[in-house]
Amino acid sequence: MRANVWSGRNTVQVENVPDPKILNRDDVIVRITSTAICGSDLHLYNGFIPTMEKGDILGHEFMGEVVETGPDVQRLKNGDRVVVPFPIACGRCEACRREQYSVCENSNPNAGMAEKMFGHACAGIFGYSHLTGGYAGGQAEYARVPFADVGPIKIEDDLADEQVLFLSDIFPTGFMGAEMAEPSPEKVIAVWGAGPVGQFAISSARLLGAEHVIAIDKEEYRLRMARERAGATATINFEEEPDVVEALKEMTGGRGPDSVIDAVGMEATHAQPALHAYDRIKQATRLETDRPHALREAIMACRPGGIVSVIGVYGGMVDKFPAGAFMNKGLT
Amino acid sequence: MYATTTHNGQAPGAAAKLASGLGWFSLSLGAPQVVAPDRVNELIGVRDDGRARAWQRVVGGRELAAAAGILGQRRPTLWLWGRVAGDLMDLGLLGGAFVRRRCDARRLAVATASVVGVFVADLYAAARMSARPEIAREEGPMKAKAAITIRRPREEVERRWKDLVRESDVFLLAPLEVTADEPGRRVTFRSGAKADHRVTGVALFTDAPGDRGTEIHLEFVYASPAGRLGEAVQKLSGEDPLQFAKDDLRRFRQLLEVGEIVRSEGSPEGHSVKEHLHQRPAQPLEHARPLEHAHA
Repeated sequence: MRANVWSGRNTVQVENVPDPKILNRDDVIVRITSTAICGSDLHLYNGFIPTMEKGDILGHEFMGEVVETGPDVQRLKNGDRVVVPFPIACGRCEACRREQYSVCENSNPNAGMAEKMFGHACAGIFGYSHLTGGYAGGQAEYARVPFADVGPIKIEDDLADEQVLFLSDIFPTGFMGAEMAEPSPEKVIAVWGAGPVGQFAISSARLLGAEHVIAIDKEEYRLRMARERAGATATINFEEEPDVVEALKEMTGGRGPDSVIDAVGMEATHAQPALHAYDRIKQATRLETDRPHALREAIMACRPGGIVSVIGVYGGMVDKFPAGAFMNKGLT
Repeated sequence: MYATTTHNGQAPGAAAKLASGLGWFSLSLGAPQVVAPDRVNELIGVRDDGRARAWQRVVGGRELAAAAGILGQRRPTLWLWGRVAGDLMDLGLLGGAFVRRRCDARRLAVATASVVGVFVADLYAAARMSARPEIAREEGPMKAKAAITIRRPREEVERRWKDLVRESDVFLLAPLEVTADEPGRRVTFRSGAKADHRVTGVALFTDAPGDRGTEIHLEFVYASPAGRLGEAVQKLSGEDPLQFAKDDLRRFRQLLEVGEIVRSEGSPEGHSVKEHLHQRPAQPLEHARPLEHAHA
């Protein structure tokens, strides 16, 4: 089959690779009808996530039709239309029992590798480096989906692919970001990053009851979409107003936002060219693996006693984390 | 999960660790000096000609001898003093290169400064080991501990573990023989006759708090037939009983909670630290063979 594979830093190409095979008894094989590129794929492309091998199939946001089932699969049959969530979960370990599927204890056959970097391993993920198990991803014609009775979401009505595909990653990710921020009508929520995940975080915050959501980005088209489609009640373009912390104070009567959501992650852009250059140089020379500018700013902006909700992707260590601000302001 | 190793239950002290480190340093320096003297000359800023290469090989041979001496002994005092003498010899050679054979003065200066730094470390290690007879490098068999929690009842976990360790196909540390068994408390085991490593130890099965299942605590002692140097080499290549124990505990949890050993395209044999060093690309296999004994 044809698949999009990682071929070195800043190189991806479509190649012929073998078709997927059933490896475990509760696998299914899915013929992929729609697949998406995630902002976090850029970190793989730019070479910031370690443990990639040439030939790794990328892609963790996909859906399609079940075409083959393993011997122990009970819930799905051939012909079922499914959206596949990007974390792989066994459904039976302690983490899965707590419904913390993204830290499933059994689904990462490279858990020892991840444990060295993070202290403990996280779950397996489709197409996201060998740290998360080395699973072949979904930017391909077919994919093997493990633990088919646990993860895949069966679509039984006539919703189009485009209407449900984002259940694979960005909608639940944005929703979790908003949920962790504990939104309510009187709170002001500030969201850094108006990309696809940020848009879903904004609209999720509104769905969960927030009435004041501020979107922060530098692309005017994203800020417009945030206002007109996602439900942001105000926006900040940080290229026009570089002092985001002050701007937020002004917009909240001096209080600062009650909860802040980082939907940016490790490749943040800084308005101030010199500081941005500092982070980029350190990242390019691998002295620092992540550029945490949005996270730093979110911590500084958050009102004392508030909540910092992080869904932006980070891989390693950051320089100059404002631990003093975090602790002394009593942030969660 | 939890895992750690010590020697005789005590972590080696700083001076002993430094001595070991210097042994490894000698090994990692000596090898390229002997095998690729031209590259080393270039690196340190010495004009690369026949004489310079010959001297590199001599020094490289000296380093390898020092490595063997230090890593093979508990108290390699004379070898450490030998390193000190070697540093002085190196400083002399570098000085000569400055005068007669230098190519890149900056690199030569950096190399010289490095030798001075190593000289200080060597002097300290040699002096400490001479002055304090109780200081010794790692001695005796390695002791390892590992723990994991499995979400199944204690009786089931204990019974299944005792069954599986007798076979050698699922666990990397197997075959193990159970030599004493106090059900509900501790199981004593040792390597079977055909095993590659000599291992003896104890497995404790206790109830985890709440309804989290069972904690398994493994404590064992192991010695490689190849001695201390062999142990270090094995660890680097992933062939080390502690790493096997960690792999085995993870695989055991998968067997009990999921029913199978979990496979990925990058690690089609399931969790194995050796596999971590040689991942195949994350794309489907040409031919997927069923994993032997992968099922519960």
